[in-house]
Amino acid sequence: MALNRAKEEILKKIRQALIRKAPTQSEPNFVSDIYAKPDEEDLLVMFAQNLVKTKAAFFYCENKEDFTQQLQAYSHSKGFKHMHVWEPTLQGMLKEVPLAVINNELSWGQAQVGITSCDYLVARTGTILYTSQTASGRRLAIYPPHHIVVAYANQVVYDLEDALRNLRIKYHKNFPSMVCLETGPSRTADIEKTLVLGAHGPKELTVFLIDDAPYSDSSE
Amino acid sequence: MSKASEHFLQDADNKVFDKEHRRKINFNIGKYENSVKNGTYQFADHELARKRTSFIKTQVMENLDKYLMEFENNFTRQGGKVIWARDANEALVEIEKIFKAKNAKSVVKSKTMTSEEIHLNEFLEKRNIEVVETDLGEYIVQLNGQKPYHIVTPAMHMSRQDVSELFANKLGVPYIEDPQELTLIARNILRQKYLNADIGMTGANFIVADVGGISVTENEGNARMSTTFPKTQITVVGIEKVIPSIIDLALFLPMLAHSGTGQQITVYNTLLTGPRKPDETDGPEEMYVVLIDNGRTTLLADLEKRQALNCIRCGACLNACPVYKNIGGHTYNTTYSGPIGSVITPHYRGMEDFKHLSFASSLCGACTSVCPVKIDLHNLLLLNRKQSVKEGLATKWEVRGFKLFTMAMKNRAWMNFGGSTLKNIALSFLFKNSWGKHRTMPELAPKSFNQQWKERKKGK
Repeated sequence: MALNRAKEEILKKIRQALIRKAPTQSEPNFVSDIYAKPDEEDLLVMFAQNLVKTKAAFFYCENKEDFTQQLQAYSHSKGFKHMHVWEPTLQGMLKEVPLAVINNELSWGQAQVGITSCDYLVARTGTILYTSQTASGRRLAIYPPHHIVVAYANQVVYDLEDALRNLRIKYHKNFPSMVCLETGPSRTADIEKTLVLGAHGPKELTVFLIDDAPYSDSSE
Repeated sequence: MSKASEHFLQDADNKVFDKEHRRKINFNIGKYENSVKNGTYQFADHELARKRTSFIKTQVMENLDKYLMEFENNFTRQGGKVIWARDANEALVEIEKIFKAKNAKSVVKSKTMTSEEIHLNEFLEKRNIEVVETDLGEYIVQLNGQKPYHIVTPAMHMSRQDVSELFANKLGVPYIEDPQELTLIARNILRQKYLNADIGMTGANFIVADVGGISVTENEGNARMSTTFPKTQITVVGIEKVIPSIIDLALFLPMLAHSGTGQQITVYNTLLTGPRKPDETDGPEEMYVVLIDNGRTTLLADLEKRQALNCIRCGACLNACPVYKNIGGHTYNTTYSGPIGSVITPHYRGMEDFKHLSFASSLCGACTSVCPVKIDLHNLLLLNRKQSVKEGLATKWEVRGFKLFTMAMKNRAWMNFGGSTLKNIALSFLFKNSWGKHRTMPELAPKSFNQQWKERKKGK
């Protein structure tokens, strides 16, 4: 590797600085839970409670059929026109459904809704974890004004730490270029601390959680 | 007195008596305080959480070279490029090289204080590059030709009326006071900017060593957009922002969110580990991380004050500080304002010009008590004062005044000499510069304790 003067000098300065060591701190307790124990024990319900607190919407679906029916009803009530679905698994699920979804990336700029999968749902915070490694890429979850997430009950974990540990194992060979933790619709409070939804990302976020079908992912 | 400190005194004087300014800041910080209070309920043991963050960051600083190398190795393996910059100028030169190589004419930026620190916007604008700040607060202050007022809430000093007027003047839109409508205007303008910009720039809240990535925290989605559409991504970040592992995010993200805004967790926390991968459908083709020293290694070498590098830039110490609340963010005239700014700026930019900030503190310790990584801020301010005196930077008047004061205090005969009137006059002259014009010197009692003691003893 070519000599990198700046790098060498910065590292040298750091090493010189660190000749004098800070007094050793005693290690704090890293075992006990720093968070308050939630009243709800069912992780699925806990996730739903916390998700709704972030001003997102939640739909419980008993099975796939239930999901497609609820999605149709939701879509009609909202009057969605440009619903984009790019992931093959989701496209397959919606194939037989009388719902005008767009399966290709043409005209994506007009997309009203992006329907995507996710990797994990975090119960304690109501967070959705997804990566850039699906066909939805980085775009579909952030650009359309409405983000719809389709998830399964066995994707729910208690805390961020569980989600991140699982993630590291799942992608240890091929880590995605982007991992996003999404907690609620986009918002800002930059003007007089007044909450406004839909600053730059989606104004609305909706999670459909399917209880029976096990989550399977082609990338695993 | 340095020019910077003269300006500081003048600006502080003006701001402190500006009732409208005080109203806006109290309103904003009041709302912040409520959210943080409500957010505390998520923790069973917030103090333990602070001990953990403090411990981890301290371990990182003691091994900073190793963690930076680990980050670089991992990030490079994933196709990213790391640039090391010793100072602001070197960072700017390297960034300009990228712009030239890409023939880039425009950049969308998400909020980055490090870019403020190196004065990136002015530098790029002089080279005819269109620079667009995309965080709403940053966008507002950029339109207004100002610097961020606060490291987390850049437009805290502006009311909705101020923003409405600004938008009407600069964007030619009708005057509307509704924050919802104002946000929508910015949203629509900026959506086009993301799609057309040649380069997307961000800062980083954390450099994550074990996965070779940077983590960006935001509520609006503008950083997500800025790192999705432009073909090239550049991230500027200080070398101290490292955490060892992706797992540590589970601790640091909620701590940052809680102290920054009172949220349980911020809406978007995005980990970026490199450019688009061959099997991915979108994302930038190239990703650069510029690691900036710019004075940080000087602070690292100062064992007593090293812990100031543990800062995660949540802004809690600003909001808690009675001085900040009175003089406001712009008065500091530094990139990093408030207690943490007063602590680090003299080390980044020179003790002589910025020592006055360490004196502009009541040492009440509110900053220390709210810091999510337990930085001993008010004691670091004291250490800065000590250093400035040691380096001979205190004024001649102050040094002499204290010498004479010490001399008098150590000598009983001097202390009892002359009665209180004379002593009051002497003291007020001795400290007339440092005491300031808005405070009256406390009056000494007519008779000293020593004198009274003697007299009463006699009377018995």
